[in-house]
Amino acid sequence: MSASELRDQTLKRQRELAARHAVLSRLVPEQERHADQLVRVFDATNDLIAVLDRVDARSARRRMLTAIALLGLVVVLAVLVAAGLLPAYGLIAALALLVAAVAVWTAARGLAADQREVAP
Amino acid sequence: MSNLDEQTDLARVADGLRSEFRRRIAVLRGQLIDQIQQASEVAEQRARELEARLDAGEVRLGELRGARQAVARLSGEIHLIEGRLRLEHGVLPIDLDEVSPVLEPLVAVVREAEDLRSTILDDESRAAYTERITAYEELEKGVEAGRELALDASRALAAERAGRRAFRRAAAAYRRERERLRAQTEELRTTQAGCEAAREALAQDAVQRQLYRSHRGTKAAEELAVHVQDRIDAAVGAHALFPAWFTITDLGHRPPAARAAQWRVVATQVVLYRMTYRVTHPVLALGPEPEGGHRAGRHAAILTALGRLAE
Repeated sequence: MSASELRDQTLKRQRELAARHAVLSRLVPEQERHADQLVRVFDATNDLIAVLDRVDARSARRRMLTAIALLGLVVVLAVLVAAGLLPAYGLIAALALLVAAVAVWTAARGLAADQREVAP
Repeated sequence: MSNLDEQTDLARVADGLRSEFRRRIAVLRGQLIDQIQQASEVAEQRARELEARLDAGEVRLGELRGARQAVARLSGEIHLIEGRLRLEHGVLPIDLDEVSPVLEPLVAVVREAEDLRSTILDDESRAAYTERITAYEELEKGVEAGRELALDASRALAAERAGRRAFRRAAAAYRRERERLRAQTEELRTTQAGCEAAREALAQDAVQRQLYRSHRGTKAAEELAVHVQDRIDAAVGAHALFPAWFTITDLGHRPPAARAAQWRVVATQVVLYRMTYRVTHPVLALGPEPEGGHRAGRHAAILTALGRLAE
């Protein structure tokens, strides 16, 4: 599923949730329908959260790929410096790229861990 | 006299005074040491005397204990001989367990009251049930509070723009509360049966308590106690032979002169206990030890009273 499709789904689920909240706010807790509507609200929230989970999973995967790509670049830079095709200053760029790759990797792992924690 | 001579004289006088003080201090110190030595010798002697007296006292105490045990043994043997003699002369022990037709309705009322009382929960069980219900109610409140928090987070998810910080925070809060709510709901579901059982038991207990309070068993027990006491008085008055289960206890064959009133009260308690709980054991006055409840408390109280009689 593409990013735009996920965004559309998020908005759709959010609108649905807002509509159910609107219905719930018109009911008082003593009313018989209130409990049913509350369940419907939580169902809609769970649907929205499921879409958000997919968005997060996609984001985590993308970050992981970015981190791998950055690591590849670091290796390429290091090889080029070792072969003498790039000056030794190239290692500074490689180091910066390595730091960036580690940061992206950590963020991706954090996101994945958050998802694992809340997964039912 | 020159100044130098005067100073020399003064120095000589000072030396004389100094040596005089030193001599007197030495004498006083010697006297003090002598007095301390004398005092410690006297104290040691007193301590030895006291130790000797304590040893003698302990020996006497041991002798007295032995004598008391011997007296108790002898009186038991005399009671036994007395009982055998009476049996040989055809005197049968009185039947204290027998319930006469006149007393039958009274005993029935007392037994009914005791049966009712045996169904009443003791303090410990009642506290346990109350605690279980309180824990369940606390859990219910926790679930309600968790649901409110989840609902708040859900409202924020519906209202905030997707992707914004507040939206992400609401999503995280909802996920957290949802998990907590699931765990609490599961716990609530598993403890529900226990809580309902506890509520039912407490309601039933309240009914039983009310029934017991309105029952005329207490009055009947007092009336029965008077009858039992009269029977014991008559038996003592007629020098009757008491049954074996009675004499085996600290009650013996006869009330002791010094504690006759106490003996009478304890004897009545024992006989009432046997009548109420239908104890017919030929040796154990109170029958086998009950497992718990009010009867166990009463059993223990009578045993204590019997023990006090022997002191």
